[in-house]
Amino acid sequence: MNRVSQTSCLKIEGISKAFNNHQVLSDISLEIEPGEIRALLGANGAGKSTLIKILSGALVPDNGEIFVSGKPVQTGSIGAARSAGIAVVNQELMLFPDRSVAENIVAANISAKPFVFLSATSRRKMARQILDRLGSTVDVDQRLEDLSLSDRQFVEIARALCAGGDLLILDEPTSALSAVECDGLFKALKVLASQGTAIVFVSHRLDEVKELTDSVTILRDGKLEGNWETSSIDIEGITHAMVGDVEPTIRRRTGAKVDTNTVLELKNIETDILNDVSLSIKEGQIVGFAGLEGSGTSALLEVMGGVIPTKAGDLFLDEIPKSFKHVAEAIADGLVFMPPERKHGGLWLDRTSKYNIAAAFVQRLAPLKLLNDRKITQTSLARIEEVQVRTTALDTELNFLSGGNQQRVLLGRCLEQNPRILLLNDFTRGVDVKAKGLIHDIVVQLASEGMTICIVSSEFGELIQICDRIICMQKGQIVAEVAPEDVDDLALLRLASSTAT
Amino acid sequence: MSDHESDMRSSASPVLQFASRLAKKDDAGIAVALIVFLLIGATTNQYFMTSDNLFGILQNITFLGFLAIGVGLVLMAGEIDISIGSIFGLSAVCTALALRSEYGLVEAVCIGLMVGVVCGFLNAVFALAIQVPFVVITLATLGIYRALALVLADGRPVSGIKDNELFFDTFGQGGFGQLSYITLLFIIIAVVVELVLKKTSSGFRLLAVGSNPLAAKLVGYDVNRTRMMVLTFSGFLAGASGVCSVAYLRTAGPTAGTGYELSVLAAVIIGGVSLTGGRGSILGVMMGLAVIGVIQNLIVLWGISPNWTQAVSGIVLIAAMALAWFTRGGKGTTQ
Repeated sequence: MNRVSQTSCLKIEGISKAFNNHQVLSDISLEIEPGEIRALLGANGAGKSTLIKILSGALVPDNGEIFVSGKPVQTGSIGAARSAGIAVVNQELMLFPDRSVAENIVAANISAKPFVFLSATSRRKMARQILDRLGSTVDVDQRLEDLSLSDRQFVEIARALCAGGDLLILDEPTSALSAVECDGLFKALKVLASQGTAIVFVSHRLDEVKELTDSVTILRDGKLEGNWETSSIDIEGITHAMVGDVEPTIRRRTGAKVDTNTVLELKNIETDILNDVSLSIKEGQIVGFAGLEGSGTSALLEVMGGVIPTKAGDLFLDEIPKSFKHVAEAIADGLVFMPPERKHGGLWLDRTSKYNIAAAFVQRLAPLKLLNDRKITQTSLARIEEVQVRTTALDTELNFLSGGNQQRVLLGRCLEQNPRILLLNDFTRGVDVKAKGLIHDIVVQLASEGMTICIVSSEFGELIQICDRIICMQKGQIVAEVAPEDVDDLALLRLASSTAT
Repeated sequence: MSDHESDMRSSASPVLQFASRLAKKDDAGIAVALIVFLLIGATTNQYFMTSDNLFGILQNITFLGFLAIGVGLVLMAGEIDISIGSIFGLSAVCTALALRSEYGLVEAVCIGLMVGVVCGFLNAVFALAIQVPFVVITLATLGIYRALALVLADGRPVSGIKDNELFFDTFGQGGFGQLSYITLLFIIIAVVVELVLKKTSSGFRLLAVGSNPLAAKLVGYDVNRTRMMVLTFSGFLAGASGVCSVAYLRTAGPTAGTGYELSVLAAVIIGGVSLTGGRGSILGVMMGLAVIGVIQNLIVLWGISPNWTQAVSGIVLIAAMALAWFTRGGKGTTQ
């Protein structure tokens, strides 16, 4: 598996691709050496996904050639790419949830050779070996669906390796991982690289890029902006290369309200995850929740939004006790939950922006109430203007909008539910720098107009930028509260992960 | 991508341009199919286009039609109901038994309708209580409701019902010209359901739940309540169809409605209702039903053995899916 070749591991020359006369990639060439970790960066729509699809063989380029270890690879064939050693780990994990870890890892291998007898023992051994190489302690007999997201990621990588990948392409592998899990992943990737595997790493998180990669390739509007040694470029430099001269509009929130009334109070809340959580939130505040995956930050928002029921404890809204059995009850009281996964949960992606916002409008109507199409159009138009999505997108199917636009449509829908308290769960996941800044501005603006906002984010930097107070959670409990002025990313990470507080 | 391809084709000729614009309308495909079959019928058999024959077809699809409205809605809400044929039979038997044992007409009709409502409601309650897919529960009740009908009727058609002029003669056989009252009732229900589906909050929610249940839940819709309502309504329509069949036939066979689920599901799917929920219209379902009615009629007119009747729904279903696959440009339904 560890072929050490003199030539570069991957070489692509003059790759171009157009959809509907829109040039998505033009004349992209690059080379990656064995053992190199290369970041592939670009704003949404820069052409990263298209390039990856071409490398994986899922798309045929209009022009250009791909070489692996000096040998040309037939383009547009997933099989050819795979047997050349290109392995892609997708944003959406492609695994069999009801099968064991071992079966999942070996699956790619089995499909290549029909009717080869593979005993359960040798299958387990094979899987174990690969996982050990990655430094993962996952039990190979566990069913995949019982694993955490980060362990599944490991399984996915192990599967790619099992299929014989010399070149591993990871498409936003960390977007769903917590900081500690990322560390584990990075360690594994570094080990792989030291063994000669070349890695292409796509991420929106630039601090990770700095930490992990050897070199950076940046695409902008389908063109190669340039290649850098990671050590020779700083985050500002990368951002600039990605978005051009537009300065990202991220700014720290100013003028936080301190002496307002308490609007929401939680007392001794218990659920499967949460353990004796008490908290009070004042009107007009932006409250951030920092925690690793499974720390209970998401669960806490879901309790407030009526998505999951509590086992014990009380929730007071304006000092009146409440118990939400349905999301609708929370919405009626002004608590609106914005789900994190726009891909799987939050939105009707095969419908238009208008439809998605109308869904919130219709929620308020009595049964069998006639729909007023003109009113719905006006309402949804006003909402997408409010969240700064271009108005021509009103009748566009969401699948054709970028992640940043989808996320803002989702925010627009939540605003249509007239929130007093907006509960944002990982609201900028998979969104590019520019769109992220826009969303931050909108949120800060809403708070200055008096809305109370709770934010859970896996990106602690974002919490520091816009929150008035940050609450750190571990294992379902609140462990610390800090003022954003007093901490940085690292300090927050320490508060959210260390046991000694 | 397919949009792009169809745009390319549309610039080729005005006819294709028209066709591609038509193809973007949801119900266009099935409308074209229906017209094609009507043309085939008209050119191959001189009796086909007579009003006697066309109203005959309409009458033949009426009883299935009630069921198809209900099943169409269930499918649009992302679920399935295959017990409707049995509910139809049970409801018909109960109505007939009530009439025979000297209950008044109003009571008997109410009993028939209530049987449908309760059966549909129980389907939903079972499925939601023990959290199994509706296809499993309605497969179970398909057998249970059928057995109940057989037990209650003692395995024989319910006969010896005292004549009731209003129910049997006026409602069951009468009509405006050749349009029977029962068919008229069915058409009125179809129109009302279509309006509710497309123009009201309840219809919007039903389709939204079918399209993405999780998003619907997070927006604040009561997903389970929607499913319960739609299953109950499907049961109600099956009951209504059973009651009408008693009025029409003056008797009720405990095996009546056996196999209806196949024809009804075929009609609904041919009519363009998405198997994964969220899309479809009652107009489409009606046209899907009409296609099946026309073909079954043509089998008789062409003198083909009636043994083939069962195959019709199946063949048309596959043909319709193949056509849809072709117009999508050879892609699966999931993308």
